[in-house]
Amino acid sequence: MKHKLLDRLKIRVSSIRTRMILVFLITSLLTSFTSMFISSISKNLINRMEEMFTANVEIESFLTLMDNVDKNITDYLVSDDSDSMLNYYKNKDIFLEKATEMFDPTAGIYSENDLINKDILYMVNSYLAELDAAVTAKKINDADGYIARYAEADQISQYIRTYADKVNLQTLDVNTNQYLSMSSDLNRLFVLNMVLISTVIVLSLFAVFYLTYNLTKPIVKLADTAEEMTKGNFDADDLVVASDDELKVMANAFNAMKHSIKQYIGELHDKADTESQLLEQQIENLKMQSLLESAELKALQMQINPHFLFNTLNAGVQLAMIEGADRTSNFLDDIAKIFRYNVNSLDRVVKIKDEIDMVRAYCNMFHVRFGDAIHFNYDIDLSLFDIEVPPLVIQPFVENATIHGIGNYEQGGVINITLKRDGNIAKIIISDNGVGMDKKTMKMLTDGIEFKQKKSGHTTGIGIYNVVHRLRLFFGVEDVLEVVSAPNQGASFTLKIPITTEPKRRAAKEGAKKHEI
Amino acid sequence: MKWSYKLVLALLSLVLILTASGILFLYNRINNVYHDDISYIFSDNPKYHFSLILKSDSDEYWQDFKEGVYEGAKAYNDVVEFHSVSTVDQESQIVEYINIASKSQLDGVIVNGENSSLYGEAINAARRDGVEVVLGGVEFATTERLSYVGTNFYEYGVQAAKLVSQVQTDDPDIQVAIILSSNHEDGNLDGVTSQNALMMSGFKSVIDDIDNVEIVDTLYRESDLLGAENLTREIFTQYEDIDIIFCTNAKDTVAASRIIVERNLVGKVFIVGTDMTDEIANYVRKGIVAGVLDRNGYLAGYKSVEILHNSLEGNFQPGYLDIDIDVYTLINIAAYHDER
Repeated sequence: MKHKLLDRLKIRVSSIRTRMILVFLITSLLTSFTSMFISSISKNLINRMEEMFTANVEIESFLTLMDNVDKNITDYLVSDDSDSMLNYYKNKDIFLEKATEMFDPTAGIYSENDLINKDILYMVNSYLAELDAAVTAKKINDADGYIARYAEADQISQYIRTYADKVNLQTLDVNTNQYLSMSSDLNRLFVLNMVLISTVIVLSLFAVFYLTYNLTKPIVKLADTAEEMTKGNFDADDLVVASDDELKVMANAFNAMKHSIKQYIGELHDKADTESQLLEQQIENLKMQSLLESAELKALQMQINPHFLFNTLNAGVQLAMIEGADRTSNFLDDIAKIFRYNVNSLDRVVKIKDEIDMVRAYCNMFHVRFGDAIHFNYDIDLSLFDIEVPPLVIQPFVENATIHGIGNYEQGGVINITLKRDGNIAKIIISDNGVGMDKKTMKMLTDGIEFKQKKSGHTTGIGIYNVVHRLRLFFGVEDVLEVVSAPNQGASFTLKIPITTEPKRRAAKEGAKKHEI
Repeated sequence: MKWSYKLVLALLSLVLILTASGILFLYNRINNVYHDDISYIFSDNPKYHFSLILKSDSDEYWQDFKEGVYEGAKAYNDVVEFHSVSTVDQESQIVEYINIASKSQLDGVIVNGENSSLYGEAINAARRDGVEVVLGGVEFATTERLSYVGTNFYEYGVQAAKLVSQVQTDDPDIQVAIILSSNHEDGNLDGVTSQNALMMSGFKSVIDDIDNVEIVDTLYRESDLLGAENLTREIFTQYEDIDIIFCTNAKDTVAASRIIVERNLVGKVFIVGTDMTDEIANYVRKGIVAGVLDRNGYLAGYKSVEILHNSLEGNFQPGYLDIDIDVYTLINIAAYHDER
């Protein structure tokens, strides 16, 4: 119960509204209290100043009343006028009342001033007593008596004036001293008032600035982050709000929203990637299939009953052997090998050794056909024989060299076939000293661009374009062929076979199988 | 909240508190200045109200006297209003203040006036109005004053002469000059003997019996301003073999001592002074002042109030109260400080 109450209270205290109200209240109250404080002090001081000068005014009033009494008694003593006598008694009462009011010592005697006041009041009594005696003497026509009494009263009135002047001077003296004492303090008070007001203003500004800054800082951060999110950046840091208020709730909600969106987008990306990979795979498969089909179609077009021809050749080989025609037997054997190699499906994997063997057979056949017009040189690294490659990738280049490179080269040609390791690459280099080619042709070959070749009855029909694309698909790398040539400078074709990488096609095939499962 | 914000907030709060405190402090001080004009120097409901009338040129004796009056009033819960009379027209002012005291129906007056008929009449008039008068300084025995409280001037003269006779000088024939405060106090009324005359009478009564001591001159100081200094110089001019100068108040004692120092006559000329101050005590220690007759003004003032108060209480009081004179020389000067 208590906890709940405290929690509720905490929430209320830490809410933005409460904080704003508190700050405004504090600043307003501070300013108001300061104004009231300074006004109150100023008012009190003004009152004090007024009181300081009231005494002098009062004494002047007192002396005026005494003058009135003196005038009335003089009138009466001179004229024996009853009105003057009545006026005397009337003004005497007023005068006495005023004197009592001003100088009454019954409140106690504490100071020199109190003593003087008491003296004045008592002298007023003596003065009036003498005047009364003068009136009495006048009534009985005792001229000497009232003259003597009046003279005495007049003397006393002089004393009263002396004392009144003394009071005036003392009051003035006290007031002057007070003012001199106060003036420096009043100046200091003014300065301090200014300092106080300035401090309150600065304090209020500080409170407002602090509140505003604290309120707007997370909002600005939030806006910045939201702007980043609209640009697709969901990796911005989480908003951290120190205050325990609605902004913190908003920031937490925003962070959660950001994370949710980020996660969702991530999932979408993954899905899209997978789908893209699958699609790519399918496209590649289709391409591969298309190429194979194309190659096979071409091979089939060339083969008229290949098995009949193959069996016939074998029979020819055997006949040649029986007749002791070894060269013929070898020639036919090489042709049989070539036919056998070509008859097999292109959708298989062979080793480089098979390819080299097939090329040797092909070259032997050429040697029988064309004699010494073409020399074949081999530089073979036997350690690379077990590397797997698609079938019929070397033979088309040898065929290309014999037909296009040196086919029309009257001086006779040399074809070098090299197999060597270059790092993780097995390089198969087929070079000739033939007519070479221009740059445009070279670029088309290396870029794998198919160009129409004039069909020749001497070829197997599998073009370089086909080989390049099959190698690319098989190994999953683009850089599979390098051509170096110049017109009449011969040509060099380098097939780059990755050694360590498992052929992509095979991996892709396995992946596709898994996906199907 | 960052520490820098906390620091700024703390500083501003501190300035605010200090400024507000400063304002309150100044406000209170200004208020106190206002209230300072009400000097609470008297206790509540004093029993009797007296007037003290003294001349403004009064020396140390009268300062002590005044202090004694105030202390007496305080002790007896009475109140005293003080009137200082200027040097111009002193007589009429004193008379006026006595009259004012009468018309103000005060309970008593303590006054140091000069013997004159007007003064005497004023004392008597006050007495008729029921105001008791105590005289200090100058006795006026023919008036209806309640009492005289102060020095017995004859005895004062005797003590001074004895002190003079005790002074050790190299000169076998001792020449003495006397500086009196004023000749106004000698009085010119029949039957009234002035205090100076009484003092001289007592002084001579002793000196006349001593063969090697001669009073070469008696001078009157007419003003406070450089009065005694000029008289001392005059004495040194006229009397090269002067041995002792007898001064009858503190101011003259100090002034004459300074001239002795100034003229490098220490050890050759000695002062016999009147009334003790710290400065005079130093001169005693240095041997410039051979001895001092302290008339004890404080006790005289105190006793004046005491007599008035007791009289108003209905107790019989003496008409003449002789205040003993304390004599200080190098031998007992330490006692002065002990008393202080």
